Amino acid sequence: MTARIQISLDVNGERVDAHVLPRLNLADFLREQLQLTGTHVGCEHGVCGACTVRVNGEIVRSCLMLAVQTQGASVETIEGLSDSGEIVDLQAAFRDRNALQCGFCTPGMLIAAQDLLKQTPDPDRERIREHLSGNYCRCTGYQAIIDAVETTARVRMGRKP
Amino acid sequence: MTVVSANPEILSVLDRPNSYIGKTVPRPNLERLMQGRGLYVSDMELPRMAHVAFLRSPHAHARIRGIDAAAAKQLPGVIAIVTGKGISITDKRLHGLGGYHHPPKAPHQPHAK
Repeated sequence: MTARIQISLDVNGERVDAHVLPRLNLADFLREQLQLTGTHVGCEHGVCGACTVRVNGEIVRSCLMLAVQTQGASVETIEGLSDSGEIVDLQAAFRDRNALQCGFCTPGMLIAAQDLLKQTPDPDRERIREHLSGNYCRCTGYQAIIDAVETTARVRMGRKP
Repeated sequence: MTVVSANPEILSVLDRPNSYIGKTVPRPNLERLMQGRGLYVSDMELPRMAHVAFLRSPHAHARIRGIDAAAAKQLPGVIAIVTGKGISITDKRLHGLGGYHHPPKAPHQPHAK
């Protein structure tokens, strides 16, 4: 077996030092070693988007990234985004539109939606659909999710929801 | 008939008969689900929890003539290798409905042997 490698990174604003096997992916590292289980593992091959996290400000599939690649990086998960209040309005819109049922895809949806709204503050529905096309929902369908993201964009632009 | 509430102060309008119909029902678990603080089965960790991996035949409709698990059993951390021969699910188990009408018998074995 290959030896563990030491890594230091920043997770949700907190410094983390850990020893990880080189083959350990970031999703499993967050879930199993840091108990940040809001990052969900759905397909394990980069298709479903449930494991979406932010690394140095960019969204990535944490199942397709190795933990050792985050050496020195800043990783933000749904727990961090929730606690900082960054997406509180987006979460409220999801609740108001009932845009989740089981909630398994929701952390990834929220992180991907927030990424879109940072890049494109005033997206049309087509643009929202395109940006969320890598995040699968198997319960509610996407209508309410698109509604919630659209509403949040409008409110942030100072327009009526 | 008069229905008297046992504890009127803790009941909401939704506790009245038929009160869910046509109403938006509050979902108190949404907050934690949206914060990644739900508890799904794959989030649970129990003392001495073991993991299972299923190995399926790469060939459809093939006949399994034998499974040599000797090398796999030697691997560190392996607790057990269970094959069709090791577990005895019989056809009877699929018909465990007691005195009720039996469903039609499946045309194949409940598991591969």
